[in-house]
Amino acid sequence: MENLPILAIMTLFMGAFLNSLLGRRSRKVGNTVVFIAMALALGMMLALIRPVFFEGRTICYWMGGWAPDAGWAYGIGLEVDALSLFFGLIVTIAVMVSGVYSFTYMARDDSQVNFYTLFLMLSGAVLGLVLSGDLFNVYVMVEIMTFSAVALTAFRNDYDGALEGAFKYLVVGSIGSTSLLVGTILVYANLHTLNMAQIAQLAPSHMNATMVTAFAFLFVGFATKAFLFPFQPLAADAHAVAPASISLMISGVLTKCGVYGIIRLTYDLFQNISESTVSYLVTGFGMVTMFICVTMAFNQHNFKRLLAFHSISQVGYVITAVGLGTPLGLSAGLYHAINHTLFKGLLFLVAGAVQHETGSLDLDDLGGLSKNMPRTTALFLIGAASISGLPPFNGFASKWMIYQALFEKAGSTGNFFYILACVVALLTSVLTLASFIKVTQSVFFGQRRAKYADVKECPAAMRLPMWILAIFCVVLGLFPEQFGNWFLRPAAGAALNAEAYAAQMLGGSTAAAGAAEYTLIGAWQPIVWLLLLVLVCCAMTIVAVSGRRSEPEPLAEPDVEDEQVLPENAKYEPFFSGEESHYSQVGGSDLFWGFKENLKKYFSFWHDWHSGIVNDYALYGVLCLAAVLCYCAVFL
Amino acid sequence: MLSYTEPDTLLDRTENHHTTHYRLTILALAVVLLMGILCAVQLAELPPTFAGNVDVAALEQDPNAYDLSNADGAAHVIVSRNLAETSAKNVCFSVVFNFRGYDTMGESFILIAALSGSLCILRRPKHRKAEKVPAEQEENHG
Amino acid sequence: MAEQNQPEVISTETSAAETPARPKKKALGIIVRYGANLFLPLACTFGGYVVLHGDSSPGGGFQGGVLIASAVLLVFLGYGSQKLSTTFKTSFLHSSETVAELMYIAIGLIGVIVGLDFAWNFVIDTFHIETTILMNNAVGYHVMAGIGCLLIMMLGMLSTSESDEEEEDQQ
Repeated sequence: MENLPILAIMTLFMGAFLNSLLGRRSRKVGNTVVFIAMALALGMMLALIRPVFFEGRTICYWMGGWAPDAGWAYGIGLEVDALSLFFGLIVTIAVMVSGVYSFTYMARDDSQVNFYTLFLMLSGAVLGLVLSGDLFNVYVMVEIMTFSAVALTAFRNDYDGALEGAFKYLVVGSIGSTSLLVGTILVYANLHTLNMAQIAQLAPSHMNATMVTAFAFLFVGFATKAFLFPFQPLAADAHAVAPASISLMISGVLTKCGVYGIIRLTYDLFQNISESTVSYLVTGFGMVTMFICVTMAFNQHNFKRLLAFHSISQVGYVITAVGLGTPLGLSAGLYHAINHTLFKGLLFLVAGAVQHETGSLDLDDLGGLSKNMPRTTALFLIGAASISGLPPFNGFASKWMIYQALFEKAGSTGNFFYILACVVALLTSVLTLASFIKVTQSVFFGQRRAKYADVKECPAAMRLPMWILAIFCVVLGLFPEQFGNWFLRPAAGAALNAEAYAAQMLGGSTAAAGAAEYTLIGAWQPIVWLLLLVLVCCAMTIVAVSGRRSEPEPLAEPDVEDEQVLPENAKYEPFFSGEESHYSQVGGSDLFWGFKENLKKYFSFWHDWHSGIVNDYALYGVLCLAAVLCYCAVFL
Repeated sequence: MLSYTEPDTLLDRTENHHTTHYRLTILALAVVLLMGILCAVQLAELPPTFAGNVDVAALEQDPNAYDLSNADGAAHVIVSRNLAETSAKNVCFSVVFNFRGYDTMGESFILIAALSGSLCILRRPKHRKAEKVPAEQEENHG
Repeated sequence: MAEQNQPEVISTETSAAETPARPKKKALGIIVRYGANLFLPLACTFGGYVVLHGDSSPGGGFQGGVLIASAVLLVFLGYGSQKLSTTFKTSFLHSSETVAELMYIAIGLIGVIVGLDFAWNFVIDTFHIETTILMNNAVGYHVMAGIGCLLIMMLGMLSTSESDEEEEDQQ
């Protein structure tokens, strides 16, 4: 029991090495090894659910048996409390799904043995990060994670821009890692210990200017990993070229490590989330990230780039909720974190399936694929409904909790900042829905180009992990109460109770950390919404099947290569002429033309800001660091 | 007609459109440097983790003669327990492999990740069989 | 079809521009070769000494491993990249590096199997075996193989990058 965390981490790493040794000749052997490793790690994490979540134990494990002596914790400890196990479950589930998907998705690539080695090392590093109880160990795991993710991003090095995207990720990721290291060094220099539990004990009473600087550095370091505001362009560039299963890992798992780091930093290590200035900092980052990313998603022509911007926008939601400092806020943030991994993973896997079958990710090029790939369309609709926050899916449940948390905080403090946060969150949700209508229209509905007439449905082995994620999406949306009681309350309670965190690790006390207390406003029945959704779907199906309309003629051939043949405003004629029997395919990126035209200044400013040049990204990173340093120095 | 284009490749943009923001860069770096200097000034006043001025040659002859009264924190505990419990005289070695061996294992994993990653990235790009790569679509369906 | 075009293009290339683009075929000078011969066993022995004596003198696995891996560099300097690719096999080095990592983890897991904690420090005084010393040797082996493999890859990139550029220009 006590050994399960370290065995889970080591299983993933050993799977990586055994795959490297055994998988060179035969991929079947290598894939079997990978699958066994992932399954064992998942099993071990599941086995820990009962003691940690239900019985409230915290597993404290000292490496090499170096338990604290003379009041100092000098060895490396693993501390698995409810918050760590919550993120550990997110990690292992995502790893399993991504791995199973990769078996089919990457089947035509060469050098697959290196892919799976790097993939399992990434997984082991992330699991090691969330289960760790030592600050320098967190840094080492972040390093392994960054290098593996960079190499995996550039894995398909024949894609246009793959090596550049990986290079940008490497440079800016290294800025983040350096920032983390400097923060760790400053913490150690002040407190003479690296153990997180002991830092939790000592830090609040030892705050001075250096500790504030350390806080700023650590915060910026974790913000880099979570791709918050100035660091998001590199995520878009990296996601566009990475294989789809790696996109799931980057967006679903690596960003959660950044979120986990920020939670531990503000709630347990420094315990300053209850100060309003820190709350403004964290929530402010979240708000800005949310809004800018969802508006940038309107400009995109590349399917995966658009999904990447939405992914970071949802992480902004999580950080906004986490920054509130209340039990409801933290629980809502955690709920949205797991939901984001699930629905975003589903969306990225669908994008990968589309790419696997058609070879293209261009929104202007694709269209009408629902006739060829109906099951994939259904999965995409589930994912799109989840991210837009439509009941009864999980996105609605967690966004509803986030709104309640924001209302509660705004109501109790009466502060304009939180009211602004509410408004921005609601606006972002609307814009997300708009953006996904556009994507669904561009890729799956609308008219199909002739060259995609033979596209087949993606293999069943690729659809299986997508169905697993979709089922989780639906289930988590239908039972938010039970999920909250079993998982969210213990996890949030463990984070909020920093004294218990320290005492259990150092003093060996077995008192449980307690569950978070919060009450939700209002009551809503998810099952009723599910029935409503089923009714609406049936109605739509009946109307679509029974309504007989003659197929309208296209105004111009959609697969004409050069644009000069079309009349100048052929696309917009149907809007003015009122002819029902003619239509022309409005390209996906032109769907919200009016909206974009009115806000041209805003859009073109941000478009140019996402310049694609790594020097600019590095500059933004260092500017962010300087700004956070100034802010912390002045206000903290 | 308003249309937004994707960023060009790194090389094109850097050569044609890039303007280096010198002032912002210097400002940012100056702020970070300033905070660093303030930290250094403050850290000099705090008690050190470990005393630094020792006679290494004499210490190697007689390791037990080390004066531990100045040290504080985890380092103090490590040094005082090292000779009693491990058979290594070199404390750095003991810290790296014994007390914090898990981190050393992580560092060696980084080396493997770097090596596997280099093997992936530096391999000759091969177009995957029977799958249309985005750049080649026009040629295939020309 | 591309292969038939290639010889014509090569001849125009060599007539137009002289051979600075092609890698040097003749071996490097005799002094460098004898120097490499002399220093190779020294480097390996000294590196081995640094690895094995990590517990009582400065050094240890990482430092000694890099010293031994410098053997790859010496072979490259003395004999050129052709001999380098025939002397060392990248795949074997990569595999041996992985085996060393597995050894490291296995040593750490001994503690778990026995019932104590991970990487428990067991000391057997008569043979001067200790967990740390075994780990140290595993890391030395690991770094030696890893850095060697990396060096071979990077040095191989150096000498083939020119022939790669020629191929790309002709395509």
